[in-house]
Amino acid sequence: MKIKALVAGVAMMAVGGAAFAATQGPIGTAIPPANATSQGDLIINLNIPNIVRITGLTDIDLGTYAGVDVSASDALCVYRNVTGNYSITAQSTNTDAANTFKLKGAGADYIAYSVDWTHGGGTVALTEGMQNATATGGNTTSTTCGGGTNHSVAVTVLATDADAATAVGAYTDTLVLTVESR
Amino acid sequence: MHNRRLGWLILLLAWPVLATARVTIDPTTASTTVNWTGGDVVYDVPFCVQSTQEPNVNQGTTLIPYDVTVSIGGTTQPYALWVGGAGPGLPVTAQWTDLQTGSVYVFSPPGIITTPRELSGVTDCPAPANARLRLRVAQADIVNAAGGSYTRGFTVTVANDGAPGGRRSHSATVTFTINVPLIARISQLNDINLGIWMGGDLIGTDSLCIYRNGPGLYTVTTTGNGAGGAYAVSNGPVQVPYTVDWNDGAGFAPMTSGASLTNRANAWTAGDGCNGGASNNATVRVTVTEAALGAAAVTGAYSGVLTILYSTQ
Repeated sequence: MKIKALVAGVAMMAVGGAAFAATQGPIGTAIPPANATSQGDLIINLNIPNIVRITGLTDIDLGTYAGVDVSASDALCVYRNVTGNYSITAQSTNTDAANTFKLKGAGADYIAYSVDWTHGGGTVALTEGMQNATATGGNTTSTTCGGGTNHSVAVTVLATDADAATAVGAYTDTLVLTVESR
Repeated sequence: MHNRRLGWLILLLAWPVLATARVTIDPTTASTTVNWTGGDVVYDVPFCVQSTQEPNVNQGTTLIPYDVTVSIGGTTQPYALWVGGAGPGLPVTAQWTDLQTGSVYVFSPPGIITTPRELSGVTDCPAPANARLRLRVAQADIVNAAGGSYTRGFTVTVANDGAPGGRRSHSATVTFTINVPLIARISQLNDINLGIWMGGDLIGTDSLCIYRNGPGLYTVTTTGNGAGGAYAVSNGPVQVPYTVDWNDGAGFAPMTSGASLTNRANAWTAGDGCNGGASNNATVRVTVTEAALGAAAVTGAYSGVLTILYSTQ
């Protein structure tokens, strides 16, 4: 299981072009040993949009199936520069029209799995490709949570699904997580 | 009766022989010294010019046209003030105004120039001025000149072509001196637009011109307009700090708001404005860190003023 992509969703804002302009310095004069001076100024402009960022992701290794349900999680960081909800969308690289998270084996063999998202408001089960817009609790001061984590993603493979696999070997998927400010 | 007519004829024939021309310019010397502090320097020299034929038959003393020539000691050298007795110095433009008629003649190109003839309107000098010489040195030329005392004597000659026997040419000398001080200017400043933050640090630079009209080091002081003069951009009460670095060509040096960074080098001395910016010689760099941006509590446009004080050393 690889969590391949982290996507920062940015709600664009119109660039607020300030109605100012740099001021050139006037001519300064002096009779030595006095010093001549000249002073000017310039304007510094920037725009901070609504911005979110997901970082701190690591791959999830579910290990070797041993006949029981298997689950693992990855703690990560979701940053949102202003207080508010955000949405989370999880997409499986091996999905099909049924919006199912799937691990893919060597051939055309798949094993379904589920994904849960834990945020400031609790834990919610995600549907593949579907946006969940109720997540809360993003870090608002550090784009990397100061090197820590605040949310997590968990994946679970049920024994019934693993048992249905028709081939032995390694199964993998790339799970793409997208956060977007709301 | 016949004898009486003959007598008048003899008298009329003799009269022109006695008539003489006269031309005068007053005063014959004038001078000024200007300690330059800014702007174009204009030196107006009022003159009384008399140009007459005296006497004329049945008319007494009459006005006749004159012309005026302005030169550097009678040579064809361009009009310019020199420093240390050498050119090219400061270019000078010259014009002559007939105050009676309002006619203005520009001596262009410079050198020995003669105006079209004018009537002076004055039959005897000294009298109130009826003409004016105007010498002008442009600020743009002064700013680009090295410090020093620039001076030159201009010869102003008025002449007419009246009947021989009188004075048909007269000259005045006008000495024009400008003391050019130490000059400094910071220019070519442009706003720094850091754009929309999409993560990471925001870094912007502005290339500018540090000019002085002679070699030497300089000091630069930058000040923000955040709280207490801090480097900060603001959106209402919300401020985001930034840092400033200065590069005089030897690499970026960190600055502290309100504190002087001394002994900067590489000041441009070949003319104000560094060739219109093509030869800019300093760079100011502004950095807003991701940490500072990430901690901003409000979205939207942020703006700040960075003031740069440049001083010669």
